[in-house]
Parts: sequence; structure tokens; C-alpha cells
Amino acid sequence: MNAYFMNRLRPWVQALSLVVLVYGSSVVGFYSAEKLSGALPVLSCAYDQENSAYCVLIPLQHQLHHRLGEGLVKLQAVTMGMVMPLVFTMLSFLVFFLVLNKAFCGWICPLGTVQEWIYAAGRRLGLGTRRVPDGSRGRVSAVKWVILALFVLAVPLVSGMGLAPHAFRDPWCQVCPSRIVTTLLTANGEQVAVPFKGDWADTAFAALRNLVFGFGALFALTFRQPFCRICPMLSLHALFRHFAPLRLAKRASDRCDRCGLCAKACPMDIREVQTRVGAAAFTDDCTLCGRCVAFCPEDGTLALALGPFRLVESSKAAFARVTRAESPEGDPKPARRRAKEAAS
Amino acid sequence: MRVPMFLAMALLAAAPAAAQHANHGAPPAANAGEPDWTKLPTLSAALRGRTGAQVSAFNGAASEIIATAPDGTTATLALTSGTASYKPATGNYHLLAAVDSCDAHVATAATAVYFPNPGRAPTDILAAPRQGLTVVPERLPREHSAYRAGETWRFLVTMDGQPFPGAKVRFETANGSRAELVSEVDGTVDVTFPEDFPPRDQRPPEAHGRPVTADFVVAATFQTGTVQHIGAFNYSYRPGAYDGSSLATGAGFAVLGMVAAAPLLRRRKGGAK
Repeated sequence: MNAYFMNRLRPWVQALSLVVLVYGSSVVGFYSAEKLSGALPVLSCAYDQENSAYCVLIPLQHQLHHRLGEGLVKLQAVTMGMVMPLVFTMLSFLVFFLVLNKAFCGWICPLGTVQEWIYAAGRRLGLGTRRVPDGSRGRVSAVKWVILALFVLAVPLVSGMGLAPHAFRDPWCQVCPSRIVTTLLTANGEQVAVPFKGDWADTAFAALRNLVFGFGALFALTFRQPFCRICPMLSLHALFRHFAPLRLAKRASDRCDRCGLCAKACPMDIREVQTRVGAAAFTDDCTLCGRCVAFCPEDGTLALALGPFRLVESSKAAFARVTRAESPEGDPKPARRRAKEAAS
Repeated sequence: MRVPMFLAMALLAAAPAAAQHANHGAPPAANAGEPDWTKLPTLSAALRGRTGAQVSAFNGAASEIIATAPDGTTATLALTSGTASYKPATGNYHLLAAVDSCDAHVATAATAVYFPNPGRAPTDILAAPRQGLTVVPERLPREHSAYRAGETWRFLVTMDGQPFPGAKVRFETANGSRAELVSEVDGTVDVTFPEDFPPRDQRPPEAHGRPVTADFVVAATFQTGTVQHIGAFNYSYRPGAYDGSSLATGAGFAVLGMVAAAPLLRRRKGGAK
């Protein structure tokens, strides 16, 4: 596939995925058992009553809480009833994951799509672009691992064991911005509302959820994919990224040191895509969106590959067409300038 | 040695807390116990773990309950002193129905019970034809959800499997609300759950963070000669979506987050950094 065509195709795939995932219950079915999956590798929020699939993070937290944590407390042996739900959840996740690897983030995730729309709006408004400084990228990248380890795995387990309040049963879902974004897309404001009943932690979680949502929604005007940087789904993907056949492939080139357009185009500010080659260029933060491939001016240096097959390769021709429409940072070029560049 | 000892003690200390966790995710079923708020026939199902329930029939003389699993298989549960035990092989929603028949009336009570284990969705069994005058919801609440005050849900009245228009439908809640409705041409009747819960400070405490529930029954009646036909469906509902919550406060926190992010929108000198 031509890299220019891929770059044009991706927003349409994202928009279609968002519609199917956020509003698809009328097609696939209303009940949980009718959903496409209860362990999807994207933030398709279970709180959205009109969705067509559930994110894997909610069963992961609940099974750790209700099954494993409670089972351990009851001092049972590690039985099939405790572990099998977890195994099935992870197997379901992996079956989907093997199809697209981390492209679920870059092509399917509704939250990622909405953030891209907000950033595109920021470009239209003429706002500047902020990036993570190279020196801080490691620390920012580590946050998603901490969130996966604590919010998705450890705290639900500890809560299930009764060592933390019950309100901590699914702490990631309590603060996940997708819970607000996808439900608001269905004109449902319930997840914005702050409860003043029951556990104080529920009130605190709802307040934090709204703060994070508000901060990220505005910041996304000028900073690409702010929520993705800390998303535990990205780290869950990263754990298994070398098992799935779809990947980013990078060949060595002498010109890379002087270019760097791929890193500028990367919505996750990944410098390694410019500085490293082979598997090292496919980092844990990559969402396989393919922008680096589209903005690479060299034939075949970057590619999205499925096993031994290079599905989309970078090329001079695709680069010329892509850069006529937008800059690597996503700024649209004025129509007059585009026409002039096309004529030349 | 200290660490294993601490862990063992912590686990033992936490056991009572864990015992409260049974059946999370199950939508609230009809409350157990004989109803003192209606004379219509009702059923209840009190969960016993993840795979069992004690089912009971009230306000009638039914001798058995027919339980229909989501795959359509049925089980006949003989009632002893009005109760029976039900242990299905699969989870998800199961429909329960009991028929009380005599010369003067034929009354079919129905309810649903959700088992947290995996199982097919109840779409097919809700749409399947049933004998006699029956009322079932078009949809049951999704997992982790519930019928809630302020919401309108559709129920279907059928007679021997066919939509039954013009039936007189009574809607009663344990909170004291009463309404008279009539089924439409296609046998449907839309029921809006009333905001009839008492003020929060007059409700029983919420167990384990779960909102209180109240039972309701939707019953269609029809007379043929001297025989009265009754079809009833009972279940429970919760307070409204925003009960005890503040949308304005949530929006306020979101705006606060935006205010915190606003300085970051200023363009830096020298372009992107």
C-alpha cells in the first residue's frame, strides 16, 4: 500500500471505528454477552450504554478484585474458578491483539481519535505545538507502566483482598477519560456527575476524573495525544508487542541523522524512530499510526510490516504528496501554497 | 517470617470484607421476601453464590416455577412452602415463570434473575412466544446496570405468543406508586419508573456502595367469560441516574482542569518545543 494512501485512510478508519464502538449496540446487541468482545485492546468504555465492545481493562481489574483477590482472602487453593476468567480475558485480548498489534491505539481507539480531532482543531486555530523534551521522554513514558502496575493490577487485587476500600476495585476506570468522552458522545452526562453519597473515594475519583478530562481535553489542542502517554492500555500492548506480526520496521540509512521528519511527525514524540534501527525503533510508546512512514522521504527506510511482508513502505512519491497537505506536526498547509507546490 | 505472618493475618482480617463481594455486576433482582405492597402475583430470586438462587412465588397458589435459561432450555422447579432451589449450568439472565390456574383465574407471574457467570444474552428468550397472558420487558438492564427512576422502558403484553393490544395494564411499585396503562396495537406498553424513593436521609443505608432498590410489578389483565387472565412481571428499579450526584460539580472540576491547562496553549517563542 502507498504510504500517502495509508495516511489518508487512517482518519476514516478511526472515524468508522469510533462510530461502531461508541454507538454499535443497535447492531451487535444490547447485552454484555452480545458485544463484539469484553476484552478489546482499546478504550471502548463499558460505561457507554450504546457501545459494541468493552475495553479489556475493566474485566482485568474486576477479575483481579472479585476473583483472585477475594479467592486469596478465602484462603482457597488457586482454583480454576479464580484463574480461568483471567486466562480467558487475556486470551480474548490476545486474539484481537494478534490482528493489529498496537495499531488498535493508532487506528481504532475512540479516545485516540477524539484527541486527534482536538489537536486538528488546535491546528486550525493556529495554536502552537508542544512536545515532550527529549530529556523527559523516558520519565513520561514510565508513567503508563506505573499506572498499569498500580491502577490496573495491584490496587484492584489488594482491594479484592479487603486491604483497601472497595471503591478502589477498578481505580483506572474511575479516572479514565474515555469514560467521560465516550459517554458524552452518546449525550449521557452521568459520568461527569460527582456523587456525594456513600464512599468518599467515589467522590474523589469523580472529581479527579473530571480534572484529568478537562486538563487533557484542552491540552490536546496543542499537545498530541496527552492521554495516550499515560494510558495503561498502551503499556499492556507494549508487553505483547513483539508477539504480534504487525510492527514498525526500520532499515538503516545514512540520511536519518540529518532528517528527523519521522520523529517530528510522530504524535508520541518518539525519537528512537529516527535514531534507532530494526526492532529498537519500534518502542513501547509506538501506536503504529504510520505517520513516520508517511513522512519519511526515503524509499523503503520505514515500513509497517506484517511478518516478512512490508505492507506500507515509505517513499519519495508518497512523502511529496503527504507534505503538500500538511506539515509533520500536523499543521495544514494553505490551499494556495498546496496548489503552488503541486504545480511545481 | 514476619512478612508471611503479616500477610496471613491481613488475609484473615479481610475475610469478612470479602464475604460482602458476592455477585458483583448482577443487576438488582426482585427483592426476596413476601411483598406487602401488592396483591398481584410475583416471584423473587435470592442469589446463593454465583450459580444458585432460592426462588419463591407470592400472591398465588402456583405449585411450580418454570425456569428458562438463555439458551432456551427449561427446568421445572417444584415449590415447597412456596420456595425452590435453582442451580443452572450457565449464567446470564434466566426467566422464571409460575402459573396459578383455577376455574376463576389464570395468573402467570414472571421475573428474571441474573447469574454472574458467562452465558448467552436473554434476547431470544424474551422474544420467544409464551402460553397464556404474559408480560415481559423488551429489554432487561445490562450487566452492571438497572432500571432507574425517571427512565422509560418498554414491556410487551402477549396472549398465547401474539401481541395483545388494548389490555388493561397496572403498574405498582413498592414505594407506593400506582398507574393504569393500556397496551398499544403492537402489544407494547411504555412504563416510566417514578421518582418515588424517599429522601436519602430516610432510606436504609446503601450496602457496599450499591443503591437501594424497590420492587415493581407490571400486570396485564383480561376477562374471558368468568375467567380472569393475569400476566405479571416483577423486578426492581433504582433511584434516578443523578440521585445524590451533582452534574454541575463535575462540570466545574472539568472546567478547573481546563483552566489549569490554559497557560499551556500559549505559543512559545521560537515555535514548537
